[in-house]
Amino acid sequence: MSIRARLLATLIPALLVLLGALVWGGYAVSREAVLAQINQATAHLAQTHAREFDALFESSRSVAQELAASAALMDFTDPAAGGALLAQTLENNPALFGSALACVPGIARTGPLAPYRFRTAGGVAARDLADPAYDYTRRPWYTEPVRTGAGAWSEPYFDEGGGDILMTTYSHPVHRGGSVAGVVTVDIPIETLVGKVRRLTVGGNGFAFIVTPTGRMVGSHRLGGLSEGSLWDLAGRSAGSPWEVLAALIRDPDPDLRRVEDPFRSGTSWLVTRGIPSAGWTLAVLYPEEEVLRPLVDLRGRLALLALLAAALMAAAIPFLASTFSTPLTALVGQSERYARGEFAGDLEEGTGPREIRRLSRSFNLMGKAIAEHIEAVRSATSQKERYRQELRIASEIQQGILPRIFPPFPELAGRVDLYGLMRPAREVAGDFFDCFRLGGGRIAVVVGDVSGKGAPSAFFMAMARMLVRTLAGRGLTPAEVLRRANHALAEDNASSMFVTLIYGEYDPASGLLRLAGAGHPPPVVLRPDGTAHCPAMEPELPLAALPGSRYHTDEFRLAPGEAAVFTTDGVTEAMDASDAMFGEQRLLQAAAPAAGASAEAIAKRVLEAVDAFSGEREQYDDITLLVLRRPPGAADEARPAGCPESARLDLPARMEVLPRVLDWTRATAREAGFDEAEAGRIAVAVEEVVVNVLRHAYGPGSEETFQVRFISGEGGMTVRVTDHGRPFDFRRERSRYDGRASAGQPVGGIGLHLVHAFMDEVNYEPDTEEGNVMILFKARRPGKASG
Amino acid sequence: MDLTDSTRGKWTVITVSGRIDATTAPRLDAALQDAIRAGRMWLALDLAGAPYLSSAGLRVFLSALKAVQAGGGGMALAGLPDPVREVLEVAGFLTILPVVAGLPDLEP
Repeated sequence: MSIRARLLATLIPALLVLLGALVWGGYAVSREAVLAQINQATAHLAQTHAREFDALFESSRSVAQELAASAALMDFTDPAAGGALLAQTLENNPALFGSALACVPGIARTGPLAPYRFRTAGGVAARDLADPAYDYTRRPWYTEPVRTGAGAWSEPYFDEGGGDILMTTYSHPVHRGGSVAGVVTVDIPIETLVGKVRRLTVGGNGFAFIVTPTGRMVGSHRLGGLSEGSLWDLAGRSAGSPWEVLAALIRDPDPDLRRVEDPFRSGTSWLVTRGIPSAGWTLAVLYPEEEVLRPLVDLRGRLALLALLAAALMAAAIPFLASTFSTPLTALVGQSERYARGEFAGDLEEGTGPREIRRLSRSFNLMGKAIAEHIEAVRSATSQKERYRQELRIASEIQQGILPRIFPPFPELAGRVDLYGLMRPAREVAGDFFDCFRLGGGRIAVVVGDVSGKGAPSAFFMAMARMLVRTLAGRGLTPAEVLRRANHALAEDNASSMFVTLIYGEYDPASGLLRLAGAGHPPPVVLRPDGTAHCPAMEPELPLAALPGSRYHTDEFRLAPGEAAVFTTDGVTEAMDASDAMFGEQRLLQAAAPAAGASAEAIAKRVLEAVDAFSGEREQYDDITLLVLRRPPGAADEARPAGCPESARLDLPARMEVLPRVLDWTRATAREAGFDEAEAGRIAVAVEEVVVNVLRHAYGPGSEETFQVRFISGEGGMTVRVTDHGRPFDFRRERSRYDGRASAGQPVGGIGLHLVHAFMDEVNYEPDTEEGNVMILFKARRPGKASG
Repeated sequence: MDLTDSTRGKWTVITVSGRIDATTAPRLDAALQDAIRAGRMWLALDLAGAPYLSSAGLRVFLSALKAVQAGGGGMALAGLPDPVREVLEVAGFLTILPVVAGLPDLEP
């Protein structure tokens, strides 16, 4: 059911009931008030008229008494005198119609004598009622006073042969000598009474009449002057009829209005009665109810009309009213349906309509926005999660791609190196890694590292660290220097505060020499063929990227044939069992012992099994990495093949005279390492500049110190290390002194270092190392560019 | 390193045979300074026999150049082997030192 229909169905009946109640209530209240007022008014009116009638009767009676008194004193048997008296009386009393003086027969000598004077159109007429045709002695107006000796009003009657009109007569005895000698009368025409009651008529249909003691009714139109019969007879004839009710009420004097069924007409009337004491008659006024209440009925009709009008107006207004609710509601419904369809664009009108609707619209809009934002947030979160997963996958791929997969990694070194590595991540993306690659001169490098944190950033960091180590290795830097430079590069721009523990080793399969530098990483366990094991002491150092400027140490020891170095990460030693006990170094040593003499792969797997057995059901907490570098039992120290110098080293006195030797040797070594004449010349210039710099700045003239020049030939090129033990110099400042533009007008410094940088691919200066100050020059070998 | 003097027109030609390095450069410097002190302000260096040059030699060239220019003369390099030319070029000296292919190309 729509709002409009509901409003119509509810409000209109309610309104009608309310208005109806108002109309009827008002009518009822007004009716009481009106009736009270009518009661008062009619009572007053009836009283006034009753008094008037009373006065008429009373005065007529007085006239009759005076007339009787006068007659008693005169010879009323004299018709002339009597007639004069009567005429006089009529003259004095215009209300009277006629007056008679009837003698008791026998009183007068002439017999019956009854002079009568009455009014006609022409004046006062005279008649003798002693006419035998009339025979007044039989008339009630005469007989009654004679019989009772007192005056009385007659019932209305038609005085045929007398006045010849309807009248009522008061007759009074004339006493003379103790007896009634005659009767005097005064006539009041019924016509007079009728005229009076007619005047009394209230309203249009009000009806007044007088009821005589015998029940005759005197009234105007409805009675035609005088009723034929008696009210009492009418009442008695039909019990329960309106006549009976009316008769009862008239007999029962009551000053108030009474409601009766009007017998004179169909309908209800209000009755008021007043007695006329002088005649013993009763004045009755019937006031038709519809007439009394007509203004009220009219009012009621008007009110009802107004109510209907109001209802009609409201019925007309309701659709408009309903639309003020239903239009925005329809909009809200539409909006929520759009929401349900997932369309959150577009706002509802917030500026119009009732306040509640406006607020609802506003809430709706806010809700829509909130939902849209939420959906967007969820979508974004979902896609972020997806991105994150993607990132993890990439990171995992990067990280897995980093790890060497093929073992043995260097088939050409079969029988000389036994190398095996494994890494088992605890989660999708591990923080551990290991690496192995070839260095120059048949040597290999091994790396085991553990990056702080997990996930994509760690994987990238790991890749960076690995790449740095790979790049820095094989350029003549010692393992400690490799780590120092790697740390420098990683720590320099380390916004994420990550770090990596790492151990880097360079291994020469020919001699079994293992040179190691560690950065916060545990040293390897060395497993001997007899099952004993030991852990070489290494200086604990800071992890890479932890602190700029950290220094590292190179430790070296030799692997005897059959010995294996087992590199691990803390995922091995810190693996926990159910009781939170850690695997630890001792268990690592014990675990490795039975595998002594076995292959690197067997050792690695044996240790992993031991760790798994120890952890039991407990979930792996950290990545586990094992790298085993084993010198096969058959490998013996061997001579370096010709033309592949591992390194050549010169220990020289710090004197300028050594320079030609150094230059010759440099050139020869470079040629031997595969560089052409031009490149060898460039390397020689660079070496001279460095050596001269050392001789001039580090020691000064006349020094007894020595310095070293060392050449290391690798796969990528040749490294020259010049080590002194004097004062370090400010490499950066010196480097920036010369910009490559010569000028005759100014002294030149730094040209030498400028040439060094121009001719070498890499120039590094390591002041204050354990060895001393080391200048490291690297020249890459370019197969395609043999000339220069 | 061996040094020989000769004269060609207004030019005093010093022919260098052998490396010009930090150990030999002082001798070249002394020879150049002797000539300048002798009032020979037009100095030509024949480097065809000098396969090697380091910054020590460059410094010698530069101080001689300053001196001859102050004395109203000039300086020229002739017969540069590739490695030497490369060093001069890398050091930016070719912009201040005139170079000729051979002694006959010296300006008269």
